[in-house]
Amino acid sequence: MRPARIDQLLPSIVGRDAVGHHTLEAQGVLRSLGFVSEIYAEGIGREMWGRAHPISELPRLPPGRQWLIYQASTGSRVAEVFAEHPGRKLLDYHNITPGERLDGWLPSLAEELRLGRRQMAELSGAVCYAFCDSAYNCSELRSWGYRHSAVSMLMLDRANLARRADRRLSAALGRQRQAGETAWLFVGQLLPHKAQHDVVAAFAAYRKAYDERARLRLVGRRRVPLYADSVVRLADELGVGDSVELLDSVTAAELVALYEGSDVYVCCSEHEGFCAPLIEAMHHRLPVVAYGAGAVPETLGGAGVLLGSKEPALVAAAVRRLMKDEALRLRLQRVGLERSEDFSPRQARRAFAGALEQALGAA
Amino acid sequence: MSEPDLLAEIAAEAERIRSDGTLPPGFEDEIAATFAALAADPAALEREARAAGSSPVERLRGGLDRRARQLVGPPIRSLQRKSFEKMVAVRDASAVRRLAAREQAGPLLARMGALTRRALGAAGRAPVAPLPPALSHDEAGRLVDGGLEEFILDSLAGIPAGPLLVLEGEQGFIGRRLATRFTLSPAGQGGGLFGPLRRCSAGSLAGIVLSGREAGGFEARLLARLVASRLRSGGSAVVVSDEPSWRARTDPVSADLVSTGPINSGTWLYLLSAAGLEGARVRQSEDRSCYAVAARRPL
Repeated sequence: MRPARIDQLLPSIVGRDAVGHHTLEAQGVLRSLGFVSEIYAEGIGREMWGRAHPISELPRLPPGRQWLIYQASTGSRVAEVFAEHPGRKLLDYHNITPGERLDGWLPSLAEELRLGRRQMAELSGAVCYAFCDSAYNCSELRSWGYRHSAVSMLMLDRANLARRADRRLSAALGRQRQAGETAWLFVGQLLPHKAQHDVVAAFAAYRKAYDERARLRLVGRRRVPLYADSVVRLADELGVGDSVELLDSVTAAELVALYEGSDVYVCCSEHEGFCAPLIEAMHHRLPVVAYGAGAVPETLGGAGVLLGSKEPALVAAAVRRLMKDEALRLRLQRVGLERSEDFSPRQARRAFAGALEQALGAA
Repeated sequence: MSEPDLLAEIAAEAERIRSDGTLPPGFEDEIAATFAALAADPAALEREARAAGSSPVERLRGGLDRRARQLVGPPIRSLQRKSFEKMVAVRDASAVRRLAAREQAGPLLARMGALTRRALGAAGRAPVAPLPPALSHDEAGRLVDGGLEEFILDSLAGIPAGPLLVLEGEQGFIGRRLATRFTLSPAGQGGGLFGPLRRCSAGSLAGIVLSGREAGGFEARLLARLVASRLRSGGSAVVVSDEPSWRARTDPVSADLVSTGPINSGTWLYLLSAAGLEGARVRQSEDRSCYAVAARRPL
């Protein structure tokens, strides 16, 4: 029986957050398909007041009338509310990093992540269908016993793609590039598994071997202060501290300026369930050099230089090749832009609607 | 891109910078050792562990704190949110009452104004000529700008069954034109903007057309919210601006900052969308002297 409403649950929803944005977009798709659909969360950012409801207000309709989608990206009490609810259950899995990767850095966060993965395993019997951002995420769910899952798409926040670049920052970056500086960029929260320290190591090798004027910009919130300190100290120890900039918080327009004002996007991440910044970089015609871990290879889709190892000399040599080989750079810019179009809002909404129809059909 | 040739060439280049002394011997191993030493800083780890409450007493205290936050946090946040929403609703309702009362007093003030002007005229001062309205119609009652009329009709096509409220200036020809196709709400006959809307119950109107009434600043925001609340699901709102004189007087931004309207079409787009309506779109008249903005309440 087709349900009257399909509600979405998630641990917290705030502005400028990938999962939160995806949830809002999913609500639009659900409503356009004729379902009543509301969002319920435990934490609601001020900018989301009126768009999401407290989890305590989640209605309980008779079985069959109401379905739920849980947007999973961390451990939370909301997963328990989801499990206990009588409605049919769908899971939208955005990947939860294994807690072990945070153990030595921030034990509380590690524990939250461990809880999240445990909850995913426990929910396998209750969830009738799961959507994933990537085949990699689907494989994780299968390992926990999920039988029905399909790759959908993360509905990206187009603000980072469509917005015009910040003019002042663009001008400043343009002046630096005209002076011959090679600009490296990485975007993502400062977390150990994002491996910004490996980007710094490769950058130090590049400066030593090829270009002493090169610069590296790491954009992202300092989620684990101890790790952020270690990255800064590593840069200082390697003598590149003055050339590495940590940008804690930037506006969408500034981020666009950084994508447009850089020469190469370097990703050494060890665990990614999707990696939205790769799509943003490709959209802004920024060539990508990446270590092939997690869902990075499938997100890149052959549109970047994919490395099997992230030894500093190898990453540095890959960037050097990109800087010297104009034909390769132009080819990567072209195929990268084409690849980013695969994740256009229209395609993503269509993929989500298709996955939902599959789930409804399978029920 | 992982063509074997390209990757082999990159690997060969990496090997070259390692072996020919471009990178000092052991450079990469040194980096790894340096980071390992930084990461294993016991003092820093201890600080983090303390912050997370790793001693039994601190763990217990941390657990109690977390539990208390879990129990107390959501109700408090919910209360904060509800009281904020209630405060906004009370403020809006009071402002609507005030504006409706002002509208009722309007004709009286206008008569007083006319008496004053006559008195001034008698004293030798010339009366101020009113600005001509920008919207005009032909003998059959059609808007002279056919595109604008088409836009209004198109925006009202497919609205659900129910009354259409038309609130317009003194001319009233849009209402007369629409009366042949829609059932008009009698609430629109009394004059004013806020009074008629306030008299209609929430979700009772299939469509709303506002034209020729000035509303700017806070009033416009309030009006957009009131319009959105009075519409049925799938109902449409159309705002038609026929007061071009502000364009001659001032730039668009300054016009929007004036507390009484009219405001720019872009501002109406924003206000109607922010009030919860969707599909907001705008149409300028051919001579760009007037515009219409339309939006629909989601189903």
